[in-house]
This record gives sequence, C-alpha cells and structure tokens, in this order.
Amino acid sequence: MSAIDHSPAGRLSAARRTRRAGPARSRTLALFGGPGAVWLALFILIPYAGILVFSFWRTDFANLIPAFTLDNLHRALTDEVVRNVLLRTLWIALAVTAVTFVVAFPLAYLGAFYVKRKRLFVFLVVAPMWVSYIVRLYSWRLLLGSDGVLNKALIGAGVIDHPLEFLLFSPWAVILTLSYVYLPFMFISLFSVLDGLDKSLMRAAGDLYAAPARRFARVTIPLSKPGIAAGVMMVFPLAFGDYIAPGLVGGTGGQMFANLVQNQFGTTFNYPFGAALAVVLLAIVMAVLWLLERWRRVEDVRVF
Amino acid sequence: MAGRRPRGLWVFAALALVFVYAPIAVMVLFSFNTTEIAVWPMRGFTFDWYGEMVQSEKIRAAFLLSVRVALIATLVAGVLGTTLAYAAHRFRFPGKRLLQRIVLMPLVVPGVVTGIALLTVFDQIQVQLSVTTIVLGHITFLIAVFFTTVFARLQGLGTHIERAAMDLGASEARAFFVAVLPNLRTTLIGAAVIAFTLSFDEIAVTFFLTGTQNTVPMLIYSMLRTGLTPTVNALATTSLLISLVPIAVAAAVGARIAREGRAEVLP
Repeated sequence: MSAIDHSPAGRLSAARRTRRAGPARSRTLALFGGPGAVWLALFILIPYAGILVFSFWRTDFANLIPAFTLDNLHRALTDEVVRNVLLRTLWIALAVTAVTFVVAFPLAYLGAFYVKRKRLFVFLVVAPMWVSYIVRLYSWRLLLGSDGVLNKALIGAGVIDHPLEFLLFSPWAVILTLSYVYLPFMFISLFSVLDGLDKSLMRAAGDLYAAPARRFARVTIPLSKPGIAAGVMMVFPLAFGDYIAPGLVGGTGGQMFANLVQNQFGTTFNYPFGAALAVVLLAIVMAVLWLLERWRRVEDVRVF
Repeated sequence: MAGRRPRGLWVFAALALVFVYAPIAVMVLFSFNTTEIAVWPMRGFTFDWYGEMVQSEKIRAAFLLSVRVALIATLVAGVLGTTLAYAAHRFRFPGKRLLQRIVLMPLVVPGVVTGIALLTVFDQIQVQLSVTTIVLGHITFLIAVFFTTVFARLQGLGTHIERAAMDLGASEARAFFVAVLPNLRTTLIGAAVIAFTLSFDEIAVTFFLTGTQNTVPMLIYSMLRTGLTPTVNALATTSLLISLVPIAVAAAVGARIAREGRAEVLP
C-alpha cells in the first residue's frame, strides 16, 4: 500500500489530518492574516499610540523633543480659548445630531410604514451621500453667500432689505451644512430599525386603546432605540471631529475643536500641543460612544 | 400605522427632498452661468467654464492623481482586507477580538486624528509627504471597508465550502482561491466601489498627508480658500457626475444581491 490512501475515506482522513496538523495551519494563518496584521500595527497602532506619546513631548520651534511633560495636556484642558471652542463644538455637534434626527425620523417613519416603493424612497434620500463631501459643502456656499440664492430670493420677496451676512461664516452655517452632509447616516440607521419593527406590537397598543401619541411615545420610540443609538453614534463623532466645514463656512466665530488641532500642524507647528488636543478630542468621542452603547443596552420595552 | 393617510408626513418628506437636492441643483445650474460671480438669477448659458476646466493643467493633474490614488489604494486594501477577513473567519487565534476592533478604528476615529497621527509618524521617520503618503493613508482606512463587508459575507457563507474543498484534497490556500473567492465576487465588487468612492472623495485625512500635488477634493478646497471662480462649479459638477457611476453600480449590485437572496446593506 502506498503512503497515500486514495480511497475516498482515506482522502477524507488525510484532509482531516492536515487540518489538525499545527504547522501547516499556522503557516496558512500567517499567510492570510500576516500582511494585514503588520499593516494595522504599522499604520494604526503605532500612529495612534504615537499621538499619546507626543502629547507628553516638548517643542523647540519646529523640533520635537522627547520629554515627559504634562504641560500640553494641562493647557489643552485649562486654556480659556480651547475651552470656549470646546463648548461651541459640543453644542454644534449636539445641534447637528438633533437636526439630523428631527429631519430623518419622520422620513424613516414614512418610509418604513407608508411608502410602497421602499427601495426607491431610500435611494432618493440616501443618494446624495455618494456625492463628494466637499462638493456638498461647496453647494451650500453658493446658496448662503451674500450674493447667494437665498439672500436674493429673500430680498426679491421683500422680506429683507440687505443681504443677511450671518447666513455664511457663522456657527449656524456650520450646523446647517453638517446636518445636510450627515443626514443620510441618521436616516439609514433609523430606517433599518423602523423597517424591521414588529408592526403587531403597535397594533396591539392600539387594540389596548393607547392613543396614537401615547403609542408613539411608549412603543414606537422605545422600540426604535437601537436605530437612534446607531444614528447618534455615527453623526455625533463625525460632526464633533469635523474641521473642513467650519473652515469653509464657519468664519472666525464658527471654528471647531478639530480646527484647533489642525492649526497646531499647519500654522503654529506645535505638534505636542496638537497631539494633546487630539487626545482630548478622541477621549470625548470615545466617552460619548461608550455612554450611548450603555444606553442602548438598557432594556425599557417589556412585552409580556 | 393609523388608517388615515399621513398627509403631513408626505408634505414634510417632499420639503426634505427639496432640502436634499436644491443645493446640488443650484450648483449644477451655476456651472453654466455666464457671469463671473455666482449671482442669482442666472444671466445666460455657457460651456466656457467646462472648457476652462479641461484646459487647466492643475485640474487635469489633480484628476489623474485622484484616480491613481483611488485605484492603488482600493487594490492593496482589497487584498489586505480580504485576506485578513478570511483569517479572522477561518482561524482562532489570540487577539482576534482586539484585531477586529483595531481594523475599524480609522472609521470610528475622526479623520483629523488619523491624519495627524500618520503625519507625525511620517515626520518622525523623515518621510517626505507625497503621493505615497496619501496612498498609505487611504489604504489604512479602506482596509476596514473590505474587512467588514467580506467578513460579513464569509460569516453568511459558513465554512462548509472550504471544508468540502479540503475534503476533496485541496490545501487551505487552494481551497480559498478555488472555492471561497468565487463566492465573494459580488461582495468584492460592491466593496471596491465603496472604497474607490471613499478614496476619491476623501479630504479629512488626505489634508495632512498631501505634499505638493493635490487630489481633486484638495484642489476644490484650496480653490475655495483662495477665491471663487465658476470653474469650481464646473469641476464640482464633473465630480458629481463621476459620483453617479458608483450610485448606478451600487444600485445594480444591490439588486443582484437582493436577487441572490442574501441581503447586504451597502452604505
């Protein structure tokens, strides 16, 4: 009998042997997982860890000096300018989250419960997401400028005499454009949950004489919590960490926290302070994500 | 769920869709406007700005650069993300959970942080910012796109395909190429379209990794910072047209996935 058993049973056991054999398997694992893992280590782990390390370093003009100083973090947490921008960033990001929710929820509700051609409806709402982010930002500049469509229309209608300058280059412009850009994310999150809801639960609430408003507040909203959490978990970090939109439509009064980070790497070349600001930014985003994750897991719908 | 028709909701939806499409429509209209400044109402119709755009050396260079970056980054990230997803799907190894979290970090962490993180590292090892650094950055966040979509598909497929192939005598690697990979075709096309578009439009990370050559979004950004010309309208409208290609592909792939009976949601 040869070394290799060619009967079906023999081949089966041979295959089983190879799968169990350690060296061959770990070689395959290294072959498939190795390159990707090395890449992640080089371009994700090291850079992110580097930010943390650099936040303790010192700077001497443009030179980075290894050190262990808490000055950067201290300044990032106590500086008054930084704190003002941080507060502004928080309320802008919260406002963006609220606006996207208020616009997306009725759309998702309509799409999930009333629209017959769901695919088309979802496509219509979501399609602009594929349009370049910078192009969508730019389109709002055309609308909001002092010679822009909105001002001309308002003047033409006799509502105002002079162009409204605050339409562009203000925190309001940032909230508006960011809400516009991130609306599809909120919509998708809400729609996918609302669409999957067990409609009999809502009918049951109606059968038990719950008024429509009460049914909405006590059954529909709690059931759509996973979607709300998912939407907020996407939109809030995106809005909180944005620096392109405030740079283009925010003006001096609409600069956000990420703009401070950006400036340390562009205009002032204070990398360690920029790294410290980035650590603060990341900590806030992670804290919000963690809180939302906890909130999502709290069970507050009970079906007997 | 009430019996009556929600007229209020329909009106709201109509207004919301106007809100969604009006800015883009105005931009497209302005790209054909005869006057230098974007003043409403429009004065006349012209293709001049498109002519100017095509003749601009800067715009042509940016366009070619964006395509090159997106192609290379999609290709490399596709290989790395797919193989990594297969490793995570097929094998058990220490640190697997951690790896699955690390892969996703560039999608969770704001672009500004990823951008400066890579910039500082390149700065420390004295790598000059260039096309290469942009590509390296793009690969890093595109791996997540391939990893998540391919991993989800593999979990849906189960492991019986490669087991069957190996019972028939194929090695692990051969089983992957012969039995598993053909089943990933639709998923990979979808992921590649998403990845290409993300790369082509990316600006938050790219901003910090750009040397002397601009990608299209970076060029639009710098044109907006320095002063508006209607050429920007033409460029942005062209960029919009390019975005329609992946929309069409996504719709087609989505329909195909739906036909195959395995629902996957393309973001």
